[in-house]
Amino acid sequence: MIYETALSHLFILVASAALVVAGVYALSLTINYYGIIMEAKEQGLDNKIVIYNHDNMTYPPDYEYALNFLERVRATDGVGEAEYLDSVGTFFMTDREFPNPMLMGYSALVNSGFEFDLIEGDEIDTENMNEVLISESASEYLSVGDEIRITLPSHGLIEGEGGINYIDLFTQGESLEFTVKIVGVVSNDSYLISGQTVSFPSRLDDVIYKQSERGDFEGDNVVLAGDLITDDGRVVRLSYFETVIVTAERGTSLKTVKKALSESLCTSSNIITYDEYLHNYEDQFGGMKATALKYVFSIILVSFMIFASVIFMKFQRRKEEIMSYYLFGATWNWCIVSSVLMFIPAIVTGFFVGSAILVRYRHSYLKLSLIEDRFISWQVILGIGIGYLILIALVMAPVFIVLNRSTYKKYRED
Amino acid sequence: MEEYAIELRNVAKIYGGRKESKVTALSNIDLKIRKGEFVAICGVSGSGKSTLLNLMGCLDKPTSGEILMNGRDITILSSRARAHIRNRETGFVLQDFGLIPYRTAYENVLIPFYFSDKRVKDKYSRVERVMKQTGVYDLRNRRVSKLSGGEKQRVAIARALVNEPGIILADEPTGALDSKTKKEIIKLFADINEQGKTLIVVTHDKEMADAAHRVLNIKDGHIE
Repeated sequence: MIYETALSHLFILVASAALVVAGVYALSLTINYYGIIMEAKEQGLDNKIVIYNHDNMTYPPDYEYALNFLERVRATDGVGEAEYLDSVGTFFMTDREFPNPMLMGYSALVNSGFEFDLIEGDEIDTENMNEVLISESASEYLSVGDEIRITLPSHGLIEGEGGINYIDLFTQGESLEFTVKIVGVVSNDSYLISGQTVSFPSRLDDVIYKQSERGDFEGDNVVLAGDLITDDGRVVRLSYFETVIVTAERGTSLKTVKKALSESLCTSSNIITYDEYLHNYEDQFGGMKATALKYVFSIILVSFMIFASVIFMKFQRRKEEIMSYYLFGATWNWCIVSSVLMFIPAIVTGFFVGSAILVRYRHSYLKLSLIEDRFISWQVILGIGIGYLILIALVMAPVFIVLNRSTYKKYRED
Repeated sequence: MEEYAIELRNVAKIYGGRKESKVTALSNIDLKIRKGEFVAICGVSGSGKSTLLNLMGCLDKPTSGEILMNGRDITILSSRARAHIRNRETGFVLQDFGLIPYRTAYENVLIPFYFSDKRVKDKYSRVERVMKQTGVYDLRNRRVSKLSGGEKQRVAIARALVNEPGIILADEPTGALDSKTKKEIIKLFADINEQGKTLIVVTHDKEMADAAHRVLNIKDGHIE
């Protein structure tokens, strides 16, 4: 009897822990799928067009062509603003040790609309040049408030309009020196925006992704910057010169702008609207939704089978006890509830075991930052707890119904 | 006006929901049992005697009719109220004892107090008293699974008596006992009845029926 009781509690504990882990995993699949869509909308990507300028993939790039290309985009009917999206360059620091340094530059257009998830400090003020954000990994070496000396070696400048000089990332030239001020630390789970697509046709998760999920930059000490001003007063902007981000004029649809761009650019460049990104993304990952649903269904089914079989078995084994209670003043509902309540310690322990597993492996298998970004810890725990109770209720409800339809007489039979 | 411990008025019990699968266990039962009376209910298997006992003991509800216990209709009560009656006003003794085998005799007798709505201050002395009365006090710390059939039935009777109910309901209480033990249990029931308890016993046993004040024969769901 003791071994049987211990085993039944162990089964319930394991099933309960599995219910928590699998339930949150299914939730994370759903969140991961919708997270990028939600983030893209929140960051205003649904109002923008991205142009992958494949004609400028020569090495070294044709800067004159690139700047003319940008002008042609801006001159197209219906285009509001247009900027080269981003670029990445390496640098070194003259006044301290800093491994794997990487400078990621964004145009003012991106910086004014895109919000990074900060774990410390503030966003870059686009009015104040040389303010930078550092990655969570870089915060091991640098702190908010630090002013650091940066040298970008062997780079020249290409003069653009409006006094902005684009940094030549490919040819030899002078080294550029800056002093930048760190104003914030970006979470490793923050979404970044990038024009450097990794798949074709380009999907939503190519243009917006988490640094921690993209192998290229994972663990790198990234510094995110907008426009910079060198020691000698020149305004510079890193630019990859490949990808242009475009907004539409007020009252003009992205579809109309895309059509106009296709006609005016006469290029093989890939012009992609948000809807096309989304379509390609759904084509690739639409199965994730179905997978999450299958997970939830399987979890509830398997948990129900374990819970029900253990409780029914226990109920059957306790028939003398239950009958005795019923004869001498217990209601039938009390008999059923007491048979379930005896597993509460195993259910609660299972919840904590499952939660501990989640906490241990959350970065490896779960993508919950969307939740963590929006809610504080106790809200997350409360939410998971309520979700767990709902799952338990779903699992338990049929057990209650079946037992409630039975009578004590059934349990008098030997 | 005479007050009855239990009064049944035109009681019927039909099992099964569908017309073709319905089984009429009892029909047109009218019965009055006086307080302090010892009644034996006899009949062949399937005649409806246990169903009748279950209805009188608030374990089941009739399909139609009224059952009055101490003048109160128990058929209209909630499950909680009927549970209260099972706790305070009736005590059950079953053929297969209905004891918890892995608990001690003392713990088994204590069970009715688990469900008392009031705190019973003298419950331990009551348990000791009824265990002495039924002759199982010396066995109080033994697990029920280690007791003989007669000892188990005595423990079951002690449990039925411990909350001092007015009515004792017994379903084949001597069915699983040898003849010597049976006689002892019949005597114990007679003693209990002499103390003023109303005793209703379902039995096949002639000796038990002979000990009763009145014998009711049930056949095909009717009292003859």
